[in-house]
Amino acid sequence: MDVLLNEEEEMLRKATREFFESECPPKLVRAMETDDLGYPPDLWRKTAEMGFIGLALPKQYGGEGASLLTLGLLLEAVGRAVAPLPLHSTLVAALTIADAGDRQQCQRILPQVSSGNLIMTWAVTERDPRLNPEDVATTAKAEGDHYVISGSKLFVENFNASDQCLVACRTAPGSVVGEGISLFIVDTKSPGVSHVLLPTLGGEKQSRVVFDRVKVPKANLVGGLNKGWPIVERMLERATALICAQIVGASRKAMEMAIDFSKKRIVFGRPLGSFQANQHLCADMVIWVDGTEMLTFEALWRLSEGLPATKEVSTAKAVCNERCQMVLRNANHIHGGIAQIKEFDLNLWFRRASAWMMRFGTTFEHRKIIAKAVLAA
Amino acid sequence: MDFNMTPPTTEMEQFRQEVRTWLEENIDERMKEPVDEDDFTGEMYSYWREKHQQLAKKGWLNPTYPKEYGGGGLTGAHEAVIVQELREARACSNMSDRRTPESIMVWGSEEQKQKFLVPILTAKVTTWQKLTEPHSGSDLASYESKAVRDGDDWILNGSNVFISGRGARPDYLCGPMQTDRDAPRHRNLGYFLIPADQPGVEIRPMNLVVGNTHSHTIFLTNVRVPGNHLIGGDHQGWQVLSTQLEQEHGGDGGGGGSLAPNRSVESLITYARETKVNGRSLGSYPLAGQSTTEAYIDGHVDKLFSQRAYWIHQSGSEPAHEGALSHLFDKLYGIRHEARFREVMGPYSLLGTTDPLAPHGGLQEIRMRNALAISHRAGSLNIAKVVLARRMGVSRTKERAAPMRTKGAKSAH
Repeated sequence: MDVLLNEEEEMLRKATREFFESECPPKLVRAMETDDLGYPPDLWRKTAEMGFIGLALPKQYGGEGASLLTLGLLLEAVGRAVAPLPLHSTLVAALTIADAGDRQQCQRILPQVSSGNLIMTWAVTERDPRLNPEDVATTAKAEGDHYVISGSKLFVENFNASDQCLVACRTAPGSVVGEGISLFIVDTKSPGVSHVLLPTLGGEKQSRVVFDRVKVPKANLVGGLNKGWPIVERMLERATALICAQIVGASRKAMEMAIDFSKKRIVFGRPLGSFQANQHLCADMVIWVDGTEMLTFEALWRLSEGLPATKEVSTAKAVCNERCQMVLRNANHIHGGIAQIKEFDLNLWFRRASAWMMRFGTTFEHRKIIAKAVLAA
Repeated sequence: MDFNMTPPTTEMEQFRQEVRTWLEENIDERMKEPVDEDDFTGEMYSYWREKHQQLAKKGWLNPTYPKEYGGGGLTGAHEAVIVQELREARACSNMSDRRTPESIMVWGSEEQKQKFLVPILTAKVTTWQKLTEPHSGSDLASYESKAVRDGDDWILNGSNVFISGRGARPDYLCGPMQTDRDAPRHRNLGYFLIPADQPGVEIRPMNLVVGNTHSHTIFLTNVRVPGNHLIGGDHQGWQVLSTQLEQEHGGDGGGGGSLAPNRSVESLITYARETKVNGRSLGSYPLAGQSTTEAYIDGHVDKLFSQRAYWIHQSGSEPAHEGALSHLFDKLYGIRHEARFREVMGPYSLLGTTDPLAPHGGLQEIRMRNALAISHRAGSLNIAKVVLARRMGVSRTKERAAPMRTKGAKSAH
């Protein structure tokens, strides 16, 4: 029943917060928006040296073997600093290889990830942004000892910085939903791979990626042929819960900035925070941040315990999308005009967190999943 | 972090089975908590007074209070099981208010604990919490009912409204009285346990929309109370009261009350699932389905907030804003929840208990009436927001929680 952090978890929260606070000031976040690579290699190396990248990867492959719940604390700290690192995409792909990859794939990839030498991402979405198997049209066809991949993917995060990408492809026509999909590890430098960066509100790096007859060794198939969708589903479930941790981290920081501002800003001869209308805005923010944080950690806890978590993950995401957006709105509202100025830090949090909310499903998509679970006879 | 409500152990399962079996064997079906408060009878009152004494003997009435004061000496996990099983068995809750013991534990002398707390926790006597005055609701500190010293005794005069309790009268009315008209606010009150069965104490039921058996008007006219019925010092009433306000404002996670399944959310889900419209379940229509889903989400968040506050209280950690937050969310969610019943059930949501067509025995019609009180009960919604903001230090130094029985009890004096 102890829903609070234990001593070890408290220590990790403190360590990760302090690390990103000192290593990743807003100035660096802003600088990376116009940087070609989009992340600071120096900070990435330090993050690896702290043991953070391999935190939840298996011990036999150079990781620390921590739970997803523990990893959530790390990503919360990343979100808190809106750190421009390709961490989430790398971990989503690496955890999927740890989950469904064979021994040889794990050996080849995971130690490299833990040491910070391999950056990864994943590509499922095509024209339809909803993450449905029937919308996967990119094909992979067997030719000799290779598969040849053709098609294009949208909203691929950190593709420009990634060495390897997990790509969901159609390998057979699916008569049953979810059938006929396979998952491949694709070297992003392979001939036939090209990408274009998308101009987005968030200022993070997302690409449209084209695969033009890209040859991939058969050894790069993750899990069974045509059996990729259940793996993707597990990947998306983990990824969704983990992105919620980032969103919550960013939202809490935005709230703290607003509360701090309320105390310091003098209006009509009094601190802004002494006005009850302002206090009401703050109270609402606390409810939403604490609520989404508890839902997120409940979902991560269930995943860590191996319990069914579909409903809880979707609840966390649906509420994060709605309520953390409101937190950022209230934080902006409390700051007033100054928050519109691009050089003012708060908009970095607003834009990044908004981008994360649009990853892994909208409120409507997740509410539909919850409704199905709740109303099932 | 551990989100299990109770540890998934055999020992806990056996304990649950023990409680369940006892309730099955010892509770008369006719005496179970009626859907409508107005159907609660005098016979039920007598029946449950005795049952509560039996439950107290087993340690199940006040599970987490120390044994030496009549509690069960059990853990929070045991309390969660007990609360769930009592709810499932539709047992009537204790006739005493839940707040008074918290204040006596923190502020009472050892002699007062023996004299008052033991009989209260063992259900030998009953208490009602006596707070609201006619002229002030949320501004509780503006108390005007007066206590004047007379030798070792006090003479009490004043009046109260909206005093909750079952039965004709309790053994004690418990609350603050103004002891010093010249002292500043928050330093001018004493907290008294007032024997209710004596001349000068007049108790009248109030006629409320929600039902007329539960709430009372109280008049105290020259009521004599011995000096040892004053809990804490004669200028410490506000502080004694703060302990129970901390609890009332969510500081103990509702005493585990919301650890039990949320009957009202469950009833809405069942209705949406089982009601057929054009051959399909009502819940399969997107708007009705979404209203129901929102009720589930709110109910779940409400439970998590309560669980957190409850755990903080049980583990003896110092609460910060968690109780205030839980209390506020309860109000906000309650108001949204009533709207969802109307959206999903339409006019059936307003059908009373006596009509056979009323879904779930008319539960929601009663909730609709009850809902009139949600926004102001135990402090208005707008004030609850301010309380929460103060705990976050929005306008000034962070306000700290009042001492509770599991935390800071030693430093209270």
